[in-house]
Amino acid sequence: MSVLSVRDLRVDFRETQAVRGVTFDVAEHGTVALVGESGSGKSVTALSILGLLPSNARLSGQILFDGKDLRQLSSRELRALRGAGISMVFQEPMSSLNPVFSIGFQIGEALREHLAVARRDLRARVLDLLSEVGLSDPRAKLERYPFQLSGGEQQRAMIAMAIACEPKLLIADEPTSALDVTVQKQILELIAELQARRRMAMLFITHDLALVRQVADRVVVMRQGEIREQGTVRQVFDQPRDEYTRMLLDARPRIDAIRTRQRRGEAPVMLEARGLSKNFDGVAAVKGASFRLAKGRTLGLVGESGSGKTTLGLMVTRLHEPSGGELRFHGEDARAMPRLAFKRRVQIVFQNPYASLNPRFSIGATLTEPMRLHGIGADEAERRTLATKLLAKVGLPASALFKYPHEFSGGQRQRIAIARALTLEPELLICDEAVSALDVSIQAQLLNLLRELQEETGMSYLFISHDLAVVKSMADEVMVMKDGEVVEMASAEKIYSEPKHPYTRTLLASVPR
Amino acid sequence: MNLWLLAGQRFLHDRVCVASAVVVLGFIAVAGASAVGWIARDWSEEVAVSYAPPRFAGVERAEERAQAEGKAVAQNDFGIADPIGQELAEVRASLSERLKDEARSASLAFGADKWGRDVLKKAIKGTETSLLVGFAAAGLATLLGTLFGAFAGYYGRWVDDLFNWLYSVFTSIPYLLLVLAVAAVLGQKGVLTVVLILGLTGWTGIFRLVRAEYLKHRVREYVLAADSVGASDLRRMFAHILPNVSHVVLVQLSLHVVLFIKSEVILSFLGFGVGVDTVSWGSMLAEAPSELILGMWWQIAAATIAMALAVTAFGLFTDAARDALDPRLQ
Amino acid sequence: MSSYFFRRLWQFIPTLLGVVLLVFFLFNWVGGDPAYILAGKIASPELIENIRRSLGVDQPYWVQLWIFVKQIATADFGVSWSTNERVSQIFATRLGPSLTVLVPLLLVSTVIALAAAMLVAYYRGSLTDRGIMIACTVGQSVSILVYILLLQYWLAYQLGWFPVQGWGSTLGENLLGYAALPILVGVIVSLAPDIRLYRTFFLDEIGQDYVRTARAKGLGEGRVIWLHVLRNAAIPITTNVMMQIPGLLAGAFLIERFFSIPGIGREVILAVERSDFPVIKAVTVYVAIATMVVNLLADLTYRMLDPRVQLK
Repeated sequence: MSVLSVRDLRVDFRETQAVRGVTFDVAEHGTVALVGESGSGKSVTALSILGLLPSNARLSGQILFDGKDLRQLSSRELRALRGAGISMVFQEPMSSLNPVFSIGFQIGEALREHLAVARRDLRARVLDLLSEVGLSDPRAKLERYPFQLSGGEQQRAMIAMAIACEPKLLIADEPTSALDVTVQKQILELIAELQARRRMAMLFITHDLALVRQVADRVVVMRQGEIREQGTVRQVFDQPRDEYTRMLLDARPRIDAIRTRQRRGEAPVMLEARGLSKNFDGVAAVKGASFRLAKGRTLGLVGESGSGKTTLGLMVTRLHEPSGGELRFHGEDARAMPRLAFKRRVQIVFQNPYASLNPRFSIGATLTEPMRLHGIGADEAERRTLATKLLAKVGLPASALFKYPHEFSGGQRQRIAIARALTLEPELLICDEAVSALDVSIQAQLLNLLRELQEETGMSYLFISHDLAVVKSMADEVMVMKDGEVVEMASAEKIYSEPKHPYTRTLLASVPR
Repeated sequence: MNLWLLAGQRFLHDRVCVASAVVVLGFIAVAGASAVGWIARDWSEEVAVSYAPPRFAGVERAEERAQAEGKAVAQNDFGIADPIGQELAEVRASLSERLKDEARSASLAFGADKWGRDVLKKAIKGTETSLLVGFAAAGLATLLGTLFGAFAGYYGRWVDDLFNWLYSVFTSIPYLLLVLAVAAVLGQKGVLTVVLILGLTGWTGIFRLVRAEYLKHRVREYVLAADSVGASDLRRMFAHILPNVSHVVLVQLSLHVVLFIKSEVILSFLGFGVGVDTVSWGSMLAEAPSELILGMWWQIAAATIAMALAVTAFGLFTDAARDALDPRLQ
Repeated sequence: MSSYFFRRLWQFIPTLLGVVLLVFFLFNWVGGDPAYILAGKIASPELIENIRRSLGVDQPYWVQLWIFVKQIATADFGVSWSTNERVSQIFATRLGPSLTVLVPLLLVSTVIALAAAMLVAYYRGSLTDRGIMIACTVGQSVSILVYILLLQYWLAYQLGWFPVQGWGSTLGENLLGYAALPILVGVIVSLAPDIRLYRTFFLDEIGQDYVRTARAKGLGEGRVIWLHVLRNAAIPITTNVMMQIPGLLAGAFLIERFFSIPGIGREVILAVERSDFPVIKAVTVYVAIATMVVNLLADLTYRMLDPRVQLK
């Protein structure tokens, strides 16, 4: 018996078709995962169920909930259903909660709206909900505003709001994507627990295939508005029929994959850091970090948000000046080196492909600027030739020179960023979450590119990421950071097979498999 | 294809935008023609009787022709009756099949003011004045505001404190009061004075916006990337960030042109603006109270319509430009 | 909260100092020799010297500055150069009429602009929205002078619904009679820019994620707009309204002049016309102080309304 049946749903916005004929069911107590990369139409599908799309959306098809077609309902009937029959949890809890009302008020609102709970009973009911979702000290949290809670707590509050009126179906749109991996695990466990206890059906939207395995019975794979494959989790994961599904499954770096790259021999130490620390207004972001990096090797730097990993990376490039400690390149003190000379040795690729290229510069201008500043290339023509060669190295055509960043996709922009970093032929490249913002399939391509470049040029990498699986596939040695300190550092094999520090173990255990 | 071309494309799709742009260009053309003396050069000539009423529509072009001929006669005629002049004019008129006006017209295209000066020409000359003041003052204010905002937003710390102090001093005094105070002090009138007054006091709004933009951009990754390849502070400020802020600056420039046109009108109305050697819509409006009582409405109408058209067109153009240039809408 | 308050008060000082310096610079240095202005066209050198001495402008600059600072501290700016009335006296008597016009003006225009802006933001993109916005753009392009002139001519002179100008002696007489048309003109002039600004504030809020969540909870549109959105938009709107106050004080001077309302604005214009420096200097400094106070109040109100700022 299906609680939700979507039949041939189509959604058009003025110029694009976001969803093109999607059909699937959600069983009464089951969990269906809607999976896809960006642009697949999964979120649009979810929003259309409750009629939450903007007014310029055109829909056709049927959405049957408990036998009734939701698209035919009057607005009053639909409103009665929202939050009561069907509830939704969104991705960004901070912006999805009203900043000027306490969470107690916002949760209570749902109760009053649908269940007409009397005012005097409201407080007790809300407190019950807050404990049920695992918020510590519910009495105090009741009066708190969203910004006073952590990301995980905010999401718990949102979940409390969603389950308050005992919905039959819970739609969760990327509920954990904005959270740290350890918190993510807790939230997923909470959702699973609630679902079982309250016997809800769930539609779970995500881009992360590993999560799907953990959470769902059935999976629907979407791409560019169409369903490519659907079936039980076992069917789709073990015997994928569709080519795209297979590609997605293969592209993920696996935490339990065996590392095949062998490193032969000892390499000379290229970079040495001792006791590096950084303070911002009295708050210590990094406390005494020490490590060594050998030529041609990759050091992975892992940590959650607030661990200080990005600050450490920026200190190595001297974009932030360290508050203490020292940094040596081939034995030479980095701070004694002249600024421009140093920049030729260390380069960095940033996380956000949409912000790291100047939108007003053509690609050619972006690439030739470092050359001009460092006196590489005798004239403009020579510089352009060099730029073209660099583009070829990262797999882009020469015509890109005259285009602007907005004409390229995220993955292509990251390639350009890598090309820019290579103009000065650095010895060390810092990759600060360089692939984290990309779709899984693109991610795999870029990681391959980085590996090839390392083979070719002998560059060392400092590879910063929160994604343990990705780091495992790239790094020779791994450093784990928490709250500004390096808690563990070992070779990649050792870290993943025999983690010593309790935090490292928690981290590894939280990764969905 | 860069941002400007994209914006241009988007802009050209919207009919209202294009219409307003055409009107704006029209006004600029009129102002320019007036400035070089092609039209309205003789605005101060007293060519009509006092408070001559307007003649409208259809008669326009023929009117101008008659005007030109009438002028040739009027040059030598300062209101002193010339018996032969009348006959001559009548002869000419009968030849060109037109009803001829006297050496001093009984009516003009848009009427005349108290001294018989052509209201239409005054309005045109006023366009020149207002646009000149508007653009020059806006240019000055934008230059100051952008420079100050760039340094304050980029460098922060004491530089920011210094400019913020300057900003709070200037904004503690309400704008018009400040303008009047400076006008009172400067005494002498004239276009340059007005431009200076408006420009030196009107930079604050632009400063605040540019500073906010620089604060936002200086931590963006493309600026950090520029730093990492070796670009200096000045280069980052002006070669990298400024182009990304230019759309904000241009919209502000346009808004301030409008603001300064309106301010100049008020100043001239009160007698603190341009001198008597030139005319402004404000000085035209200054003559209005006494005229209205007598039932003469055309000068206030001319000034108001000219100003309303110009300002509306500019306003719509600015809104359209802002939408077209908005990077978020890409 | 109180430590923030004192910190802000402390920051007054450099700003006030800056204003004092600016005013001093303008009037005592750039302003040139007022003695010539006061002496009239034909004056003997002795007369001019006498005037100079009595005004104190023959002293070196730093002495003049000290005198000025003392004047501000004691709130005694001497006498007007034109009417010989004590400047402080001028203020005391003119403040009332100014407020009689300004307070109702602020209230009425804010309420109307808010309602219109909410309407327009809600029906964004519709014909009503575009129509009102275009009307606002056109309305703003007509100079305030024209509104004053035309409305005064038409409603007062021609139709006789209101007195053309003047001022009465009792509050009631003023509010219902003499102040009515000035307030009407003021409201009409400020509607267009206010509606546009408030519309922007509302639109910013309506586009936020929490509005989507509120709808997903099943709340009615009315509640979403009037409670969730308004409460958030109230923050920038309230601070904006408060910060308008000093500007209104000075901006109303055109209205006061035309309607012969004996308020501060009218005094300012007269003073500027007559180069009456003491009055202009005093008004500038007082209004600057008032602006700083109002800005501080606006800031405190903002902190009260926005929990995110309050509890940091």
